[in-house]
Amino acid sequence: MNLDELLLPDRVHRRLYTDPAIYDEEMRTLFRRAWVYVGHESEVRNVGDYKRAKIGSEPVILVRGEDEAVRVLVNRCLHRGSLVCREEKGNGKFFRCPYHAWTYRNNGDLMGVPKRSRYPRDFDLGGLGLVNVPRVESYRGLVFACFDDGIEPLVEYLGPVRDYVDATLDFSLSGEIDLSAGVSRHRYPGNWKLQMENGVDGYHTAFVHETYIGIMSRAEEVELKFGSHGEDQGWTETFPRGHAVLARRADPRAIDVLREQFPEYTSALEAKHGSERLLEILAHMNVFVFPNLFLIGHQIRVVQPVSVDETEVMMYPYLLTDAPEALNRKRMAEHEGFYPPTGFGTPDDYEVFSAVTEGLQAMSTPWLLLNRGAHDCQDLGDGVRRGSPTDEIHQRGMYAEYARLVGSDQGGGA
Amino acid sequence: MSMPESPSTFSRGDAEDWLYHEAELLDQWRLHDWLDLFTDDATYHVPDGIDDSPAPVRAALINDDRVRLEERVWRLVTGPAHAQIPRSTTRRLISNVRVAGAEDDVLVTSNFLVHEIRKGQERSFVGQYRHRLSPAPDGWKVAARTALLQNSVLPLFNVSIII
Ligand code: FES
Ligand SMILES: [Fe+2]
Repeated sequence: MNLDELLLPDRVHRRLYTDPAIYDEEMRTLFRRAWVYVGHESEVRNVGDYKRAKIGSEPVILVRGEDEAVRVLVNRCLHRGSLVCREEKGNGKFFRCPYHAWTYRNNGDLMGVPKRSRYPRDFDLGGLGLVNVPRVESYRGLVFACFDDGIEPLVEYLGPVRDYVDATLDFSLSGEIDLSAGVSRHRYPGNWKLQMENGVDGYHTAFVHETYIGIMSRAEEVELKFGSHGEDQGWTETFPRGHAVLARRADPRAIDVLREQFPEYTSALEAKHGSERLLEILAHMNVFVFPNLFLIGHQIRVVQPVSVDETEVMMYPYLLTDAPEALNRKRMAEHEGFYPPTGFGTPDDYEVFSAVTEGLQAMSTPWLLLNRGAHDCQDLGDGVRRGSPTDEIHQRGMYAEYARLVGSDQGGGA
Repeated sequence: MSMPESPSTFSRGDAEDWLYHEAELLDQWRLHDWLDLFTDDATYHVPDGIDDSPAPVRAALINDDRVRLEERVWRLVTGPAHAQIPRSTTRRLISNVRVAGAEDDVLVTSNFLVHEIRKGQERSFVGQYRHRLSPAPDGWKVAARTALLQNSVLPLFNVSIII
């Protein structure tokens, strides 16, 4: 698709948020050419565990087979199209289609077709297994899948954003996390890219989250959380492949504050990583892995497009494996305070997305401006560029990758 | 409203009067008066609807102590919370009321249906309340209020009213 008139280096056209044809093109190209996050290994810990997910609009099943391998199968019967798996998650050895009972092993192989004698003897059922998404790889338990067989290995795709993913997950002493604590489910009337842009947007915080900041400023930890809010205390970075981060340095007192409450855990973290790295681990980071994954706060956030102006977002507040239960409880309470549909933060974001969606009906005014800080950013090499925390450098980076995937006619689409 | 002189006779009628009063305060957006119905160590809990995990630690939709409940009311009334500009109007129906009695506190269960109208759209929230009420000099107070919100299995747009 030619995007020349819709995407300039410093601005985006309203049609990217309103035109169903562009949405279809994104499903056909972007979500099939990128590594898309589909779930966490802790969600399919045991043989036979499965969980439904989507790659763009394509329904899939993340499943651990009898051979312990994690696969991503397309959730679509080869006969006449029904889902073969209707539960959100579960455990089983096979998937039986509800329509005519074609039955598939959990590695995708077709194992049985009822009343087979009415098919010609030479009709080959051998090739009619559930489609296996050709590439599946994971990084630190985060499982990604890609329909494009030619994509680079996941670690290369992640590139330098890996350091921020590591820093986030290294707050777990064992390095492991667990998604069994539940999920905040959201749906907002607006395009999925509004969430993509906003998850690392440092410009809106003071305005959209005024009430949350008002509430926090009455609490004790405000200095640590918001004291370093100034332009000089944080930064944004854009990485190759559209990944991004919004980060604020931790207050140097953060380690001591943590130690007061969780002395042993803090000492163990310090011994493992050293205090300098521990401060980096305690920094406030919103990490974005293009196109659909965020690590924000204590949560893994998945952005799921539904239609051009409808989006679902799942936020999984995760537990730190081997951390004191009180620490995990504290983190869940912090999650509950801001993020659920009933929280003090996210509802204001999604209210604004809804306002943007209505505003973009204005055909008289087609452009959304993303030029903030464009005159003044730092090149750190290897495709990494840094700006001030309220800049839009990283959103510009996302759209550069977007243009590469959507605005070309390379293969990988359907 | 029922007075605490005779807790053991807290009847279904008393419970209904109490619940209707609470619903009226919420529908009239008199949230500070509603707060006055809570004891100082009260809790307000809305669990996540799919709560089938054996995990010892769970995230809820709402898990308020008195302090956070006051913050919630401040945000909605004074804030102002963006998600309440413009404001919602609501109308609540309460039914299937049951009382399990004790000497000094009672557990009242009921079903609720809350209709919300905002920005030209209507939504409804359905579920069950569990009110643990205890007697105080000025009436029965909430020690613990739980809303089992069945909508919570769905992806939700902002829920910025009190359920
Ligand atoms: S559609 Fe699956 S068996 Fe017919
Ligand atoms: Fe926000």
